[in-house]
Amino acid sequence: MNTNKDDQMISKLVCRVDRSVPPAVKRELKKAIYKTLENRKTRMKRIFLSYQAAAIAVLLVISILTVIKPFTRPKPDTSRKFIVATHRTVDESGTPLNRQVYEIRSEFEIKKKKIKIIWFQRKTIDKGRKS
Amino acid sequence: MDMKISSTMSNFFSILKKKDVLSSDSFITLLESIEDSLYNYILKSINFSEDADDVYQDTVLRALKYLHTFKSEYSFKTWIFTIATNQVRYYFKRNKPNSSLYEDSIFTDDDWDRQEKTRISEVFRIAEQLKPRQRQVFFLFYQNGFSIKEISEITGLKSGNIRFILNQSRESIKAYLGVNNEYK
Repeated sequence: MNTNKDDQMISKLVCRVDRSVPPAVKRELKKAIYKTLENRKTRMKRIFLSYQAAAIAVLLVISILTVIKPFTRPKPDTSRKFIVATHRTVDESGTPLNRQVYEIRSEFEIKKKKIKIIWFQRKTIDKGRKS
Repeated sequence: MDMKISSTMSNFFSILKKKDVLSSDSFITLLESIEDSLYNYILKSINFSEDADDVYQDTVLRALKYLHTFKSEYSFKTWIFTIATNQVRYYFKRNKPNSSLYEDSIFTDDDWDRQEKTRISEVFRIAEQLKPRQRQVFFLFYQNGFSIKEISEITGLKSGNIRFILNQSRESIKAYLGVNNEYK
């Protein structure tokens, strides 16, 4: 802010020949401003959408892999037999005896590798206990 | 008038903080409040050259390009005048400054009092003799009413240098115009 009289006088002389911005320049500038800002908005939208699309693609791939993966595991080639053996079902007089679980036998076979596993329990068999 | 402009601008910025800063209408409204002042600064700094329109356009487009870096707690006027100052300097690097300033460039019509015309011409002749950077200081102070501190921010010059430049120009003009008061 000019407080001095000389400065005010000089300022007045300098500003006596002020001009307005030529209308043609104003028009061109307005056009350029609108164009630049619209382009910038479009560019930003595109960048935003491409990020969104990329994120969705990544999520899709992850979910597909998570869901499909169990189905792509090879099925084990096993067969399992569960045999329950009992000793006697009737006594000498022909009265049916209480069925007792005498033996629990499990057989596992892996044909490919020619392995057979037989697992059995005998005598005191309690469902809740290992003998 | 400066206070009116600064209160209008602070209102704009309180709106811009909430709204989209990159809105075309907001930027144009801001620009319209200072465009004449900016244009005249550029015009006079480059001695009324025909290239003033180009330099002005380059300034505005550059301000638009870097608008996202502007912080609204600072003065928009100071910021855009800093860009203008740099554009004028760049202009002088690419072009030799005009060796002489013609009256026809300063006055667009003949409807002038002869004495006043002479006084105005002399002020601009003295300004023309300053180096480009000094000339910018001169017009920032006398054309746009910036304070020494603001001119220092815009030009990067120290306050002491600015005062020296202004004192020298003032003394030259006073000597010609015959005014005796000292600036402190």
